Amino acid sequence: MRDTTTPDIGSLIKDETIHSSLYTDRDIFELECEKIFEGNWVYVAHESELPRNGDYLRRTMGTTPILVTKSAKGIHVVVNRCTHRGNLLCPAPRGRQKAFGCKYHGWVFGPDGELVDIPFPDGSENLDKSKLGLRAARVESYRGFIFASLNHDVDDLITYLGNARQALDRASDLSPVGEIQLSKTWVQHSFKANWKMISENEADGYHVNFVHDSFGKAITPEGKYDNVLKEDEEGIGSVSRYLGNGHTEIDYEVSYGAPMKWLGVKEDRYPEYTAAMKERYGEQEANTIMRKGPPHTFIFPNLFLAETCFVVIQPISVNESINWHTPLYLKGVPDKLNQRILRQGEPAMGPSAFLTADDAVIAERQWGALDGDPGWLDLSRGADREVQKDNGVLQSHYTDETSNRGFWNHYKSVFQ
Amino acid sequence: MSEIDEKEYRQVCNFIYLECQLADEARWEEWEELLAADMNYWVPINGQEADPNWDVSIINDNRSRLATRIRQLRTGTRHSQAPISVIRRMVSNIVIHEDDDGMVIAEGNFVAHEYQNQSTMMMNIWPGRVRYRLRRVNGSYEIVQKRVDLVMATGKLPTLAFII
Amino acid sequence: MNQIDPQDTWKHICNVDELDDVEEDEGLQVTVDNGAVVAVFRVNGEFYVIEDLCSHGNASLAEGFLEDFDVECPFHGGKFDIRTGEATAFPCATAIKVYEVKVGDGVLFAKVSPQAPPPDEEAKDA
Repeated sequence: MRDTTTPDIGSLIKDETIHSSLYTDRDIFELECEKIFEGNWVYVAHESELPRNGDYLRRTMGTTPILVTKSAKGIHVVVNRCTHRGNLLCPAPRGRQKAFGCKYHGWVFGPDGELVDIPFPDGSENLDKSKLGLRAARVESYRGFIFASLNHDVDDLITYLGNARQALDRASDLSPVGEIQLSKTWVQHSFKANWKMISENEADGYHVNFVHDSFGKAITPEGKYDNVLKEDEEGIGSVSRYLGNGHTEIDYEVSYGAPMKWLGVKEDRYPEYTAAMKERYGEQEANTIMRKGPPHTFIFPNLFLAETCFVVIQPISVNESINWHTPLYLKGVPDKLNQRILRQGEPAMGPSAFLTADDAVIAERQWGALDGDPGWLDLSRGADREVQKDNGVLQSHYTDETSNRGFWNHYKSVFQ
Repeated sequence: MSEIDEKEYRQVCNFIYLECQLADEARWEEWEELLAADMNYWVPINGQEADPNWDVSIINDNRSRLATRIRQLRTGTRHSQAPISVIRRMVSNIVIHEDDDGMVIAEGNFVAHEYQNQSTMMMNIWPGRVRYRLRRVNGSYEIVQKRVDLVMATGKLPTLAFII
Repeated sequence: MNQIDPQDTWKHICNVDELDDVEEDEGLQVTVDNGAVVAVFRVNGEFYVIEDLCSHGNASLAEGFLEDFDVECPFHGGKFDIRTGEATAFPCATAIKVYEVKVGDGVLFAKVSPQAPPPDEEAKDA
């Protein structure tokens, strides 16, 4: 339990405006760590990253250090801090071992967090090992996407994912064996800005013309940014959606007129892949999947499926965040297809990217300006032209702020 | 692999120093003139173990993508280089040899100091190792590959929108 | 240094095909009918049977990972050579027992001495 004063978050979020202290107040950041990152589901890892018994990954949930481990009993998520004197239990970013011995005093924990051994046991006879296990999260996974919640009293993952579940399907179904695959290498792009600025950016179509103006001028506009960069408001077919539970997305499907256009290739470029997809899904469904392409969906609070990039947002402090990304590879496809996913994603994300380098600088300027001059911010764009779709999804024009309003509405509910 | 003579060592160093100066001063048009048509500009994450076709890189540009990168910088509206960073880098510990294909391989250590004046107004320090693969042409050289291994490549990196 | 007691008889350890379910770099823990607990490894078709209890702490060496002929104790990362029992990495220092093996009719046997009384815990500390 963190020691914080309790800001009145509800008073900072109105229907179409929010107060900037939500991005700059340190107490609010601490409260988010508790209520969001330790309060409900957080994405932690994908099963493809833990193929063997004993594999583990060092990750975070908010600012809480965790280990994601795999044993014969399944996947576990435990806090990566020795219960004795607080040493970071396992400093390596990944590895394979069946028990974790603290390098300070040798206490040993199993992959499920159980304290299995204390050296020099005669002197520790008064200690009840069963009460000194590592704090363990509730763990559930869907299509290999592993989520954890340090608060065990939450809805099941499927309920939590709600209308965002289709995004995990959309990514996984692009593989003829129904699974995505993540490699061990990640790029870490650090922003001196609040994590929520990045989350909101994910489904913000409004900024593309302006922040990515230079990108539009450097390339021949084609594909999904075509009408956007030409400032043709009516002609933009892609849409923005609020999916509920804080999840948001942009759907570029409309701009992809043919299968595999999302990858910038002709549909017959990978015949083995096409054949395998048709065999798994039948011709019509396979063509639909291959035309729609991967999702561009933000899953509250920290996962962003950015078409060819798999992105995880890590909050460090109120004004520092890291965007981690790795290619969204597919299992069971020809190497050349995955290589193309890599090539396509590389310039989109990361510190040197054609796109996110500029997003980062804008967010940093925004944070600095708000810290210096707090105030109310307007998020009213498009409030009069939202369309209610099935299951409570709100769809809007690509440039509208429906996704922002939805995000903040959910955020507010977390603190009530 | 064979040695190169003292005179060529000096020539290659001068070439590298020029390349660094052009990159520091954002003289992108002139910098581009030093590049071969088959240039690869590579900033990997995991050093010697990196597989460029599987492990994501910070930058892995073929000549065409690098041309797009330069075009984007030259628009003047790439916010992460508007205004341009003020940069000075040092390159040293340079060792040079000729490989079995007749290409000149020059490697050294570098550190660049960047005043990030677009947003954070902070000094960023960028140390690493640089490796050039150069083709002799018209009494000078063209860069066939520039590979940069940053010290912090596997850690968190601030925006890197200039030519490292 | 081999620490085999020549007075012991051959003990049934397991069927050879039980090792098929075990990964190449993992071991199988077996409790022998005389109470001894051993760890079984297979490397390039050859079998190795060693004392399961690490000499440094209360860990099962069958739970460790094998690299070449070194098994790493899962608790603190010390290692033993499964051919000789010798401790090959800190913090392990005291050798463990290894047992002579033979295979007959798809069954693995080893000359395993009976389970000794629990050792004095203080003496086991490195």
